[in-house]
Amino acid sequence: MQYPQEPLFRIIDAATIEKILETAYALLQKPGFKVYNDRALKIFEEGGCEVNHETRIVKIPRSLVEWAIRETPRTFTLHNLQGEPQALLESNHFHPYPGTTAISVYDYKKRVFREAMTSDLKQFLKVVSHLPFIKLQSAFICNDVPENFTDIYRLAVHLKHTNKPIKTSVFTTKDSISVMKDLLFAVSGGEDTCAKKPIGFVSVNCDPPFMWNDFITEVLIECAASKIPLSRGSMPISGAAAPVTLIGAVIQHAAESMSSIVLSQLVRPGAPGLYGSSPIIFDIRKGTTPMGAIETHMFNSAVAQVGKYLKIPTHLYLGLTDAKCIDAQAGFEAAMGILIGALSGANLFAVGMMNFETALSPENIVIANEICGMAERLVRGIEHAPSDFSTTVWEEVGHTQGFIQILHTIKHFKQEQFNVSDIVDRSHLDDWIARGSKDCTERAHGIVQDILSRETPKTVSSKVEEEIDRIVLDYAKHLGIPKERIPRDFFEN
Amino acid sequence: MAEHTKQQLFDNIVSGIVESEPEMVRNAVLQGLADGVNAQVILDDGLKRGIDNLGELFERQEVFLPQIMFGAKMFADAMDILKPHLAAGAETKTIGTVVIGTVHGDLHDLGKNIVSIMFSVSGFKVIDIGVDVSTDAFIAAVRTHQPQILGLSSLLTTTMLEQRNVIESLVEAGLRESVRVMVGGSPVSERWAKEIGADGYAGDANRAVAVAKSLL
Repeated sequence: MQYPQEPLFRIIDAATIEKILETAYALLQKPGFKVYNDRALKIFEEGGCEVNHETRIVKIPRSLVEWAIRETPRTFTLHNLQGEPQALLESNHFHPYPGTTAISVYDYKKRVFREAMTSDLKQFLKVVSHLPFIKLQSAFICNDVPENFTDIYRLAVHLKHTNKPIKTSVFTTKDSISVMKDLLFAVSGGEDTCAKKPIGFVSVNCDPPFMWNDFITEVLIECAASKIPLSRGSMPISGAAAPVTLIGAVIQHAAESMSSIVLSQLVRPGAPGLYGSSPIIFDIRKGTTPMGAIETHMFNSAVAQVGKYLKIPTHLYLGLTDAKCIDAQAGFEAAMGILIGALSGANLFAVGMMNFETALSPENIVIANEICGMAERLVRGIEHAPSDFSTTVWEEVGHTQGFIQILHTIKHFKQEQFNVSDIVDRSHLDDWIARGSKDCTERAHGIVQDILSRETPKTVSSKVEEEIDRIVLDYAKHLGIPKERIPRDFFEN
Repeated sequence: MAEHTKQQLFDNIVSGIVESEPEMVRNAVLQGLADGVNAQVILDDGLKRGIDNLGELFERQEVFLPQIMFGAKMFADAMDILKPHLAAGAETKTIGTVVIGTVHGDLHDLGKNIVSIMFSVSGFKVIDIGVDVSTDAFIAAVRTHQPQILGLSSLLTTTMLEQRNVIESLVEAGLRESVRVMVGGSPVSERWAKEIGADGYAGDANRAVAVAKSLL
């Protein structure tokens, strides 16, 4: 599809972005960054930063940041496991994907959130594989394996069942980082191919304000070294871990992002990365961190704009809901976020999560897919060619309501009008009643059931699957986890 | 003419109708006539098959109203070419006649046009008497064409009252028993249809065809 050259919505102007960046450069000097990783301290120091090993404070000069931004690729493409390009990350191309690392699944039938298991993850991946407007895969942490094994296990299940690029990360043990890389290399055909045709990206965030913990820093260094794309940003929580003013939060986010851009480029110049992550507000009145808040959407939109100003592909969290069931709130929060993301020209954004970024639901992602399709249509805009300004069509039809049956309509209607699925009801009342008077969520459930009843085609070759199993079993053994502890679901298609 | 070439011509007519390619239909019809293919065979094995295919695709929601309506137009245009070559009365094998119009005071013809075309692609002979049709004109048309079905369309709550007037006038003219009256239009409902003594109501064009068939 054609994407606009310029984002359709700008929440801040260029002069304000300049001021944001100026202030961010100052923050990199004062107070500077507290870095709890010794390798990183050394890298920063050798790169020309002022490092105090006692306090672990790193001060990054502006010239180094400007160099790192110049070294950062302006574009890259994510591929599927077959090496086919799937998501071009540049300009205003946008690729929604399911928000990652959910710990629970919303069980539509029982109307409850429950811990996600391997079977939930596989079902979710299958549903998403059939959704045309959800462009990447990412989903649950499985609660039916030991906690120190969840990161690698989750990635392996994804790799065995995805037809799309993926988003992943590790959170638990340092030794899982190399296993994560081994898995990515195994399915890509080696480290070089993985760098040339990345199949996904890894998310790392600093701890706001201005702190890099040992583990996440290690992930950043290791991924940058192998040119595995990183979403390297921060999650400043406006009002709690960042200023309550949105402008202050955007400034802090910029400074925190710059620190990770510098570190990754010092590790390996040209390492690909995304600007953004999951900026969020802290609702001072309720004491929670809402993903569906209009201010969270505004914060994300502004961050996207700063990233675009720096000419770095962007990644954000827009299109989530804090609702505890799939209701009107879930629908309007997701729709607002997705539209704002698409209009802001964010390249990648996470959608479909519920209950503060903790849960996913097959039904809710099916609904999000529909919104994303409409957003794609919106972004395509009102297209026109010189011939559209001729009066021929009106002359042909005259003073009749006869536009419906002319060739002009037949030629253009499919392109002009987004083809809604059953998620959207536009039938006559009688038809709707005849089909059981189902609301949107019930219809989404019907679509989910339909997808799950279909055959599941294999997405990886037996050889690659064997290799995935080998790596996973070796790692389980390393952790002292017996094979019997791995759910049988893992070994089945 | 070789069978396979003839088949190719018919296939072209069918594809032309299904894919909204009027030139393809027209050329194949002219070619058929030039090659001496019987006009009735062109009608049955080409045009009618094309319309049937289109109807099936419409049922499966693979084609939509514009293609159906344009298909009907291509069919009518091709019939104009074929007519001089058809045996008298041969083309009028229809399942019934419908007189249809939008009532007095109402200039809306979109819904009525869609219903007309759905009727005609479903095998009805349709006499569309236009918009802003007076009660007298409806009565005259019923007398002249002796349809099985009279369709009264109205988009406005003000003009739908005219539907009642037409039915009352049919009674006065002694024609009420000779024709089944269907009413439609966005303010019209099943309840209104019953209240004014109409025989049928449908909320959309597809159902209108089903209702009309059930009234025959």
